[in-house]
Amino acid sequence: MIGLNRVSRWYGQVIGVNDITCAIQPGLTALLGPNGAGKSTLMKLITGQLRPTTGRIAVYGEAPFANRRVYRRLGYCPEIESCYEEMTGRQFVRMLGLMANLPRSTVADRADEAIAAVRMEHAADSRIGGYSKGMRQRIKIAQAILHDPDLLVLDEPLNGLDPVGRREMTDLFVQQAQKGKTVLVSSHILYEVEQMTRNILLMDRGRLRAMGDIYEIRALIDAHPHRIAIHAENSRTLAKRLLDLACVISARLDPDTPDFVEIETREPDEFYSILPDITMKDGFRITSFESPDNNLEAVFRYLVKG
Amino acid sequence: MLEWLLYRIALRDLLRIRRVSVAILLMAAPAAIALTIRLSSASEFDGAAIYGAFASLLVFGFVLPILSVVFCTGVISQEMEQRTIVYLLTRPIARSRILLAKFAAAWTLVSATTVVAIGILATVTYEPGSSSGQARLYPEAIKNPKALLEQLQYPIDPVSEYLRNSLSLRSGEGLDAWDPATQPRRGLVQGVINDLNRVIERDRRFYNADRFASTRLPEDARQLASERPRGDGLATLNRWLLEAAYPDLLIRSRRSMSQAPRDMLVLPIGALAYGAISLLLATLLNRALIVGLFLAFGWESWVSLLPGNFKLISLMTYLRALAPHARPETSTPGSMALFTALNPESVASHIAWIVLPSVSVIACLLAMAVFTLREYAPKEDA
Repeated sequence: MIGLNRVSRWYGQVIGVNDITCAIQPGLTALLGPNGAGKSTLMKLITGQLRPTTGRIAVYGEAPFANRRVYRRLGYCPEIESCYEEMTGRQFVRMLGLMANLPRSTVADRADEAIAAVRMEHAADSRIGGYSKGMRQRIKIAQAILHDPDLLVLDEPLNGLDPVGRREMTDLFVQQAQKGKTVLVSSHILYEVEQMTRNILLMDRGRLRAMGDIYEIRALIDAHPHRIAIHAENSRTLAKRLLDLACVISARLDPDTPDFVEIETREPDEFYSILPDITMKDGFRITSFESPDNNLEAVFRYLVKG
Repeated sequence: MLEWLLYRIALRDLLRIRRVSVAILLMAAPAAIALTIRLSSASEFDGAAIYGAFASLLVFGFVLPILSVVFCTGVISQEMEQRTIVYLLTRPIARSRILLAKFAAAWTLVSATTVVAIGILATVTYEPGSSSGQARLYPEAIKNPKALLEQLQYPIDPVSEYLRNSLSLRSGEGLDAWDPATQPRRGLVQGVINDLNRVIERDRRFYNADRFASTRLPEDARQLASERPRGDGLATLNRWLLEAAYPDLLIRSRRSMSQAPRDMLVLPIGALAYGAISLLLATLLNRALIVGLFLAFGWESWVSLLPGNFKLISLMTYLRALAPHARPETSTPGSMALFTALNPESVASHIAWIVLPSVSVIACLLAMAVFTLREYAPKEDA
């Protein structure tokens, strides 16, 4: 459906995407990467807003730049927050429906359906200028799905949504993919992506670092030592107790923060399953724990450094 | 039709109160200033002169270019600034259609604003009871009949000499017999006026560059002379020539209301030309507004005053050819008067009728081509 063959895009001296070759098939594909990884540039190339400096992009067999045949099959939700602030959400969606060549007789009904799909009925007749970030995301998604496109390109569509909203929109994307559409969603949050799909493209600094099943990539990550920072009373005793576990490689105390211990493990899932037992049995009072490596940047560190 | 939808959306966007308030302010400013002058100096108010000066300097010279540049560069820059252009450019519509529909909306607003500006200016400067553009000379239009007859009795300038020779035998004999120490008879004055009206209405040889070489002709008269008019146009020209030859003796015919309809026709053409150039700049440059303002107020102001053929690359030259105005003498002070003196000829109006639409069409086509080929991807929020 979408094919990229050695695609690079430069902005003057700065490279946006670097020598990317991949194919995106129907179904839901997540485009993962930290801010500045080149995700939006890649999406602009696919949606024909930019031309590649080198290489070739084909969307349904055609170069997408300013290509109306491609746009007939495309629904695009840009990352930008701004909309036509003076319009109501319903006017905005209807206008873009008409511009997507929907017949005038059906555009009102289709707009209502799209607005209902993103759960925006209650605010559809309010000015977009008064919308919250989450409401803007929903109305932007509505205009993208309104004309029932074959290809949905959604740039960070979950930004600014509350947990319930994220869940609702994630379900919507999955539904679209289940209808046989090609859905490409970008995100910089691994957790979000895990809830949507197993199929990911992983980008960093303009390059495609990994592509395929997320669990295979996670397995690679899990083989890499994970750090877990724990705040607890008796941190020294806790560190000693944790070092006894086979899955823990090391423990580090911080002299400046007496209730802090950081451990390294190659099997974070096993560690997380054991930790509650230890705390309950041995009476450790853990106030918080977090993993600085359980985010996408850590994945990149691992993948980049190898 | 999709263009109609885009046009309406763009026009509605332009008519948002914050933007349109600037247009309204500029639209009302010339008339407001004229009204202030009228109220503060009612007895000396010369509506025709004020109309000519304000129409030329404020409406054509300022309001038209600034509104054209601001609104027509805004066709793209507004969408780029709001970053809403991505919604337009990822829809299955030809980019050129989007551009033209939005440009048409901007042009409508600029045209309407400037036409209304000239309309209220003409209303404010209108003086009831004036001869209102009629070319014929009436006794009340002659401030000092005795002085006029003296000039014709013993002519010392080529215009008076020509007129003296054009008088009927009866008027000539009456003039010879008249003693300047006495008041002229009413019959003599009326006879001379009748003879002058014959010149005004029929004499195609009255204008001659050598004959009027030492007469300061207003720009509109010079422009009209270059067109070699007939009929009403000839009468108007000859009346203006007489007024220029005897500025202290004749009351100037009122031009405001007669010029306003012509100005209302020319302003949309000017808006189209300035707008199309602004549109082209907006498709090519990220800072089109600044460049557009420089062109409108730097380039346009000075290049039309330069000697030689430089004036031919200024839109204002062609607009002045279509809508010449008698500007006040104080409007070309110092060095600019020198440039004007070096560059007295105007472009013929039929040339202007060809050039302005051609420039508009070419600039629009180029803008459409550039807009179709160029990338317009605004930066993301992050």
